[in-house]
Amino acid sequence: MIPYSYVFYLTSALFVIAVFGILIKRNLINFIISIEIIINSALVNFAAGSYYFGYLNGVSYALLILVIAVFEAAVAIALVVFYQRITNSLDMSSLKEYRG
Amino acid sequence: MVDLVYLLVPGILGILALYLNKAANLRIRASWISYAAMIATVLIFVSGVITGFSGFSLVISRAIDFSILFALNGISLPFLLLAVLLPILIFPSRRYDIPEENTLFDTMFLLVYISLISMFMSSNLLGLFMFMEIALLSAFAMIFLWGNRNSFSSAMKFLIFTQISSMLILTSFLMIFLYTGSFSLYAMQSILRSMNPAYLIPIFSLVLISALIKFPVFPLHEWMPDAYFDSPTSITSMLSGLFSKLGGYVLLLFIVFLMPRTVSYFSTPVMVLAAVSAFYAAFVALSQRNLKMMFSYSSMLYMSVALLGMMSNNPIGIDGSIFLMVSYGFISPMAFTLTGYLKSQTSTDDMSALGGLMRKLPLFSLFFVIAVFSSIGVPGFSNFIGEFLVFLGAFKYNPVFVAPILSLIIATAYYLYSIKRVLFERFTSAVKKLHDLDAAETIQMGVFSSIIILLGVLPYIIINSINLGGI
Amino acid sequence: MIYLILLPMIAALFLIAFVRERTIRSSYTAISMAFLSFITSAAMFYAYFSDNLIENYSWFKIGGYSFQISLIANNLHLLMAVVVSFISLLILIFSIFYMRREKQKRYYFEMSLFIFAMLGLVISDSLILFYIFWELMSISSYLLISFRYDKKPASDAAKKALILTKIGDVSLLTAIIILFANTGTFSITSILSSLSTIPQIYVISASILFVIAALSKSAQFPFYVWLPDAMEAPTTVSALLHSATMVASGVFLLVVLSPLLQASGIFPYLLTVSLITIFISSLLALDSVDTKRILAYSTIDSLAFMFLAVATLNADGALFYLIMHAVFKSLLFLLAGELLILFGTRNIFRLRADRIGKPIFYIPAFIGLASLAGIPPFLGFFAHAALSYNFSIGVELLFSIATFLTSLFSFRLFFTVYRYKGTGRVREDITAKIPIIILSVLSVAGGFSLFAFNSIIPISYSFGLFLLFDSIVALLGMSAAYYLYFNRNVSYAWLGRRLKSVFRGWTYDRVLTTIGLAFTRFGDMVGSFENTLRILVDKLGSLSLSLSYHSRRLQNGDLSSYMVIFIIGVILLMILLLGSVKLW
Repeated sequence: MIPYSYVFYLTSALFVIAVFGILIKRNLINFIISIEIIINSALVNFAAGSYYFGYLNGVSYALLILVIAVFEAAVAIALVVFYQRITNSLDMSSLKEYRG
Repeated sequence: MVDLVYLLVPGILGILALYLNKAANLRIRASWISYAAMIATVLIFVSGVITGFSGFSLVISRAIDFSILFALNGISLPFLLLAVLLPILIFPSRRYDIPEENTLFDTMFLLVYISLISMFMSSNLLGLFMFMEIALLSAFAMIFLWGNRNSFSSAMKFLIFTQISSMLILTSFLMIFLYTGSFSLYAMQSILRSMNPAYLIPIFSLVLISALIKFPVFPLHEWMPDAYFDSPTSITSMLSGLFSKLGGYVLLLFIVFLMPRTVSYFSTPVMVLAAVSAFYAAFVALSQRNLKMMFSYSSMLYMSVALLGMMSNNPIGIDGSIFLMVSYGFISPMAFTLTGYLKSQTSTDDMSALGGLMRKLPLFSLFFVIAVFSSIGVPGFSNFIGEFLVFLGAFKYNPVFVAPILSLIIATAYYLYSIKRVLFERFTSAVKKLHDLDAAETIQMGVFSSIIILLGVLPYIIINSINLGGI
Repeated sequence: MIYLILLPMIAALFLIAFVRERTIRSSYTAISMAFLSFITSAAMFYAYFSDNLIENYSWFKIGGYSFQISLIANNLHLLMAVVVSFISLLILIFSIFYMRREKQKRYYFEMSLFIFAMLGLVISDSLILFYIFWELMSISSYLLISFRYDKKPASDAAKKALILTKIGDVSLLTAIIILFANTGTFSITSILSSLSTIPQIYVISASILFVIAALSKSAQFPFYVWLPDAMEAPTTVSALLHSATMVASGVFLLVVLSPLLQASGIFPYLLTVSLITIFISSLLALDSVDTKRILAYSTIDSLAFMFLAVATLNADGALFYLIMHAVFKSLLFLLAGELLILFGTRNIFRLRADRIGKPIFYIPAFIGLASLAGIPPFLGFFAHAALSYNFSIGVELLFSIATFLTSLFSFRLFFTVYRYKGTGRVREDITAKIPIIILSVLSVAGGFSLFAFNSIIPISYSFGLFLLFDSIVALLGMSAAYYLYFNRNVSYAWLGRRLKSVFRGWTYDRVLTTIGLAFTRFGDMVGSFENTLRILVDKLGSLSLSLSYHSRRLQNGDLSSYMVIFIIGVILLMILLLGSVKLW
């Protein structure tokens, strides 16, 4: 049994990498992928916590997050597809023009 | 017995009629509707004075004690007179700056009219505040919409300064609510009077600062020159004739009814400030070469003198300051209207560009001279009584405070200079194509003069309506 | 009942203002109403002889104080009313001749306003009423001086006059406030009877202020400069206002209030000021070449005599001189006006060339000037008798010098103008002749009323050695003037030049103008300070605008920057929340 802390480091690293990805990436798809990675790292953390500390709450949280992530991804990709049809690009900087 | 709310009815009907007129294209002249509404209000007011007024109350929210409570208190009659009568006299001068048949202007004017009347009748502080805000915000809009090229920044300055003062007033009202549990003047009077006056100092100082901004008084007066200068003639007259009294009215409510013993903590410093402000305004007016600016600073001078009387802690000074405010409330719109007339004729109100108008415009000169003389304080006109009573009250408080009477000499100097430049001596070419006041303007000026002379000869009209005893 | 004196003049004001000129001529209205006022005052004087009637009307009440209007009818006041209305009547009659080519309505309105104010002043017992009429006189004087407003000298003169007299008005108002605050009443009689209850500091300060007011209204040092310039007014205006009545109201004020002034010990200072004024004005009169200017300085001179009498506790003598002075001074001004209308100039040298010969011209002039100089048996001689009752030796000496100078400049005027016995053929109206004749007769015969005067107002006079000396001095002055001026002109221009170089061109007039300009400059300084304040406020406004501009740039629609801020915010929140929970 590996110590919980290793799992924690894994998920934190994933989280930070993904946050970095949110901040840096210009491409909308990459943006969404990073969001997914964040969500999943949190999910893994919860699941691991549940396994290591022996109560079922974590698993239920993980399931909840999973479902929500699926929906969120669907909506986000739909928006991105729609956006790409209009602006013919997947670049974040053209979002500015829709400000207002 | 006339219910006080009836004073508002013609105005509200007027606003509705104006929109009906516009929407249904009825082709009635909008100004006739406005005049009719205002004259009806005057008639109701007069009949109310004769037969007596009765109160009106409409509770909006019992939880926070917000209600519209109309009742006369000891000092509201003079201000009501001003608020009911003055706008009718100001209204004709709208044609100098505002294109004919502008329903929006008429509507806003009527709105300001009814909100000012309501404010002076209100006995519930929140209601008072609400009406005051309606009037001020409408004034802001009117300054901006029909003013000069610079009117946006001037209107913004006006807005910001008066909104700060409104915030301070609202804060003080809320503090009173915390102490007394009510916003109604009757209920709070007994509680506040029995409190230790030292505890009321913070509230009073908030109201005082707010009034200083509204009057305006040095050093919080910077909104005034631009706001007065960049607004159209009729709005400037409203500003100096009515709006400058708003701060004074609320301050007077506190001085006379709510916190009479707290005034003595503030008398000396505020009277010194008022004296300084009076001299400051007089000297700045002396340096002005523009007629409208000169009258604006002159307005500030007389408001400072009124403040001097208000804080003098004796009934003569307070009566004098009320009288001065009402009397100057008639004189200064007259002066501004004359300036507006001049500007519409000669497209300038710069004194160095004018001259010799007495020969061409005898009627204008007559009323200009009347306006100037009544302003200086020539007996027979109303300002003399007000000034005299204020200085008497100030002297009774402390002989030193009669010193601002010297600012009257400076006032004489700059007023006479303006008469000399504008009326006397040679013509200037700006002036050649002029026609004198027409019938409507003559009637307007004549009514102004008659009121000023009437108040000057029979001051008890106002003085007897002031009751400093209780609400 | 006393207000009946004023009622005709009020009626005149309304009629002149609202009735067209063609329906009733304003001149006839004014004259008839003035006549009614005169009749009423005379009737009242007769009816209330040696009575003392005070009528009070309540004007308004504030707190416990009642502001009253009180009118008084006793010998002093009613006599003044009679004199004022009589002189006003004569001058209005003369105005028909003098103003026949001018726009008249405004003139008669303003004259009626003035007469109303002066009459009201002399019958007031209430200080506030007194002030009201005092100020109304200042205003009508301003309006009348600026009658020919399109000429720059007239408008400047009017402005100067009003500002200088306004200083006096403000002093008067302050003095009234001081007295009211201390005694609770405006009534002069009550105040004078309760003098002992007023703290001395207030008695002194009120007296100083009253004296300042009187000095400014009566054109004494240091306020005298407005009167010579006020000669820009039409001559009838000068005759009424600036010789006989308005400028005398300062003296009247001090006469009525002399118990108060005496209690404050201000009289010695007043004496000094009067003496200074006498010498300044006499010297300036000797230097002038304009008939009206000479007469203006002579008025200042005569008023100073009256102040001298008041200051030597001889208020009744001052009053007698006041009344007599009104007679001969208005006569002189009317003559000057006649000369102006007939010959078109006021310069005494150019008048000389016009060969004025007829007796009707020079006899009244001689009578008037001889009265001014104090030559027996004319009016002035008796007036000097009454004036000098209380003079001490030093004052008597100085007074004699003053008499000499007065006689000198008066007869300088006479001999310079009325030199030729020519055959000038000029006609004048009956309306011009009648007032002049009446006034001349009075100037000759009126002096003897001194003896009867005692029954009206107790007055003391002495026909002693000093008076003899004084008349001799006056005759000396006349002879000196004859010698110096009859066929030649001794000019003091060299003296003027020397003085100018000593003071480097600083005439007193220039001093006052500089003071006035200094105020204007100070006003400009304050004005520029105000402008910088405005710019400061504007800068504050633009500061907040730029602040908002810069913060608005955060809302740029760029998702990545939003995310950065979002992440930073979340991290901060987490630190805040977790910081309160001990984790590690």
